[in-house]
Amino acid sequence: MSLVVSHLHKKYGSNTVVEDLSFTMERPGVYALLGTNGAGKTTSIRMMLGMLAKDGGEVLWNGTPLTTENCNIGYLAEERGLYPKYTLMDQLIYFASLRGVPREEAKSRIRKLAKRLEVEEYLYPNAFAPSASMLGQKKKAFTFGGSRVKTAKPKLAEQLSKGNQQKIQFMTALLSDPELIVLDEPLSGLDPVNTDLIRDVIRDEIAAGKYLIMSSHQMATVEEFCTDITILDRSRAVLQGNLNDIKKSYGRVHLHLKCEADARPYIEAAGIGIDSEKENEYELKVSGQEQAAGLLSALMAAGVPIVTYDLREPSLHEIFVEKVGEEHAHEA
Amino acid sequence: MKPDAFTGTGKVFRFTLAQMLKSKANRRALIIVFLIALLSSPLFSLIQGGSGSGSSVSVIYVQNQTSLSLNGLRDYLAEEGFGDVTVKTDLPEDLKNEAALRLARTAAGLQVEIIGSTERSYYAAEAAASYLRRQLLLEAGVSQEDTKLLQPAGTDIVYASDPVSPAPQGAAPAADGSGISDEPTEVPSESGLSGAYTVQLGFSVLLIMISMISVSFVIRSVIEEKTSKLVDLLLVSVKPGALLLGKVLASLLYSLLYFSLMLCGAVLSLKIFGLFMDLSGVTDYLSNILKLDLAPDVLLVLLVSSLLGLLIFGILSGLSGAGCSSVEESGGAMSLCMLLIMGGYMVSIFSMITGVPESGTATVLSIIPVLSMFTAPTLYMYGAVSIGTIAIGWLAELVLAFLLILLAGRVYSSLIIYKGKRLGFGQILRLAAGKEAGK
Repeated sequence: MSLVVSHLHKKYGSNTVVEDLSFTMERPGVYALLGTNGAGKTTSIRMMLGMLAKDGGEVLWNGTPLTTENCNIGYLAEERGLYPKYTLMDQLIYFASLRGVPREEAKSRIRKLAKRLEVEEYLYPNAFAPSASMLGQKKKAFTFGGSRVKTAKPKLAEQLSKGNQQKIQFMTALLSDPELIVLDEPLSGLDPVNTDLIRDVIRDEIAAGKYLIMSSHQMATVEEFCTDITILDRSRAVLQGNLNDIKKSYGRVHLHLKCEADARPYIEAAGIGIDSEKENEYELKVSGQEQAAGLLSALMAAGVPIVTYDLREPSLHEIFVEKVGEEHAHEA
Repeated sequence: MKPDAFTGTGKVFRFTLAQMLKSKANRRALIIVFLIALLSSPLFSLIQGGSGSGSSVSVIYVQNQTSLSLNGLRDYLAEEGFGDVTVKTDLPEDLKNEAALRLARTAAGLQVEIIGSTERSYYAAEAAASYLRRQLLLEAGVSQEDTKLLQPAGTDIVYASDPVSPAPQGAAPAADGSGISDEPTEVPSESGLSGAYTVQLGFSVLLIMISMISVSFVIRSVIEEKTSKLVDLLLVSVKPGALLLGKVLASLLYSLLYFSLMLCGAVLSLKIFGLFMDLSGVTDYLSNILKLDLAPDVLLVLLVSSLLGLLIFGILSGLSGAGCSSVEESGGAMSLCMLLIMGGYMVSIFSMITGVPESGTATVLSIIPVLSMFTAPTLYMYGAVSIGTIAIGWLAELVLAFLLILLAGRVYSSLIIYKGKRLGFGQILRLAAGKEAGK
């Protein structure tokens, strides 16, 4: 299976919102679409999924135009919500049915995902209390231990916290057991516990050989999962390729140094630029391994106690900021 | 448009309808509407002033100074809508809700003095006078069929004026103040307007109600979905045309249910309160409609024309609603449909004001989409247009509905993800032509 996006183009009047976007996913994994706000990520995704008409280009899945008929797609939109007044179970079954999942199968998948994402108590409120059905009574209120107990009503979406709503929305993307999963900002607004829950599920999907396209501002998350990236800026792709290759091309030029004494004179003497400094802890930009080694020798010779010496490739965050900054500076 | 463009319509329809029926607020609204409809006849009767285009006429007193037989009078009155009337001969001094006729023969013909204390009792007495005129003609040897056409000498009805009776449109005043008119008076219709007009008015009012209910449901449903930020999720699973059509059909069915409940409430109201209240004011008002003989073909025309018109309004309102970004803008989104609904209503009732229009006008009224929804059933019922003309009207509506669905398929996804000031229909058309930004 493969996903080929070639020369996607979209204009609104004279305003170009996506310009000649192309990329390919030859094997399962995660492809990251990164970009500043308004760079054209969501529009590109909408065009890829056929929700917006393209002005040019094509999207192929196994050589044929990508549609919901020839590819089982799961989509978590950036703009996401739920019907506030409807019960969660009704909504999930409805969304599954639109993706062609039979009712019973949908129920079984909902149960599994609910357990995985720890939202069972909202979908099966009676499972967390002695229920009428357990006692063989089909009533809204029943007697338990001599007292009258009301069965819990199914939860409405509006009764859930934002984080829990987001987990339900995430479930909708996976209900059809999709082969291509598109996640637009999947972790935004989640607390660390829920972030970890969703990260675990994403890891499972990757392990299951799914194709994932992920758009996010959280570079650390993207970096953790993705193999290939496209950085969009002002509707154009400004950097594309395999993340490891991109990092290698930048070289190991970032030095994290922590000493027990002031190292500034030695850094300046070596002609190294300081990106940031805090209590004898420095983020340095070196020209290469030799310059870094020179600084290390000087510090050791001077007897400056070194706590941390980490010469590394740039992070995705640093690449992103540098690349987008370069583009803006270039245009200015 | 590909056939799969409508795949999923049924699922959207079922889910939307099920949720509409499950909604507590909607169920409350249905109960309230039913209760209001249940109370409608006594309320209407009270607003009308209690009784009577007047109150009911229970007795007509006939002082018969002629040799004419009154044997068939009761049946005749029943045919004319006064089935509850008893005919008596001992005229009391003080009339309340009763009517009276004083009959005498003169050289000019039959002298009829109508004494009615209310408008309705006047009309009841007038119907009785009409019967007596027929009797007079039969006595003169005129055949039953010709009694309506011929008026031989000496068989005129001469009305005596009465200070108590109202002066309906067309009633001639006494010429010489003697209380006896020389001229035969035209028998006016109760309202002075044609029966077709009353039927059209009633039908148009019902259609306006159901159209407004349906339009508001569609717009609300579309805007709610849009503001719930579910559109992206839905559009990846179902085509925009199917999403809109499913929603429109569900809202239509729900509004029909809503309306049927209202109608049931109103009918029950007439039946229940009619047992212990005088509702003649209401039944008088509805008499032209209640008397209608709705043949199956008329019902079919009524149903198909109404549904096609409602479908067009539904799609238009769905498109208008999709151009809104908040529920507050729903009023503005309704304006186009309201304009069309009111336009259809006005043209339909004005076209019938002087009776059923001539065939050329009737044909035009029956084939213009949206307008035909209001006019076609009445025109067909009164024989002004053939079923062929009606079918052409349906075809025109189907073509318009299809074109609107095509337009919806083209712009609905752009509209539904559009955020900003509400788009008017002109802007929606420009969006379809690719001349407007959809974001």
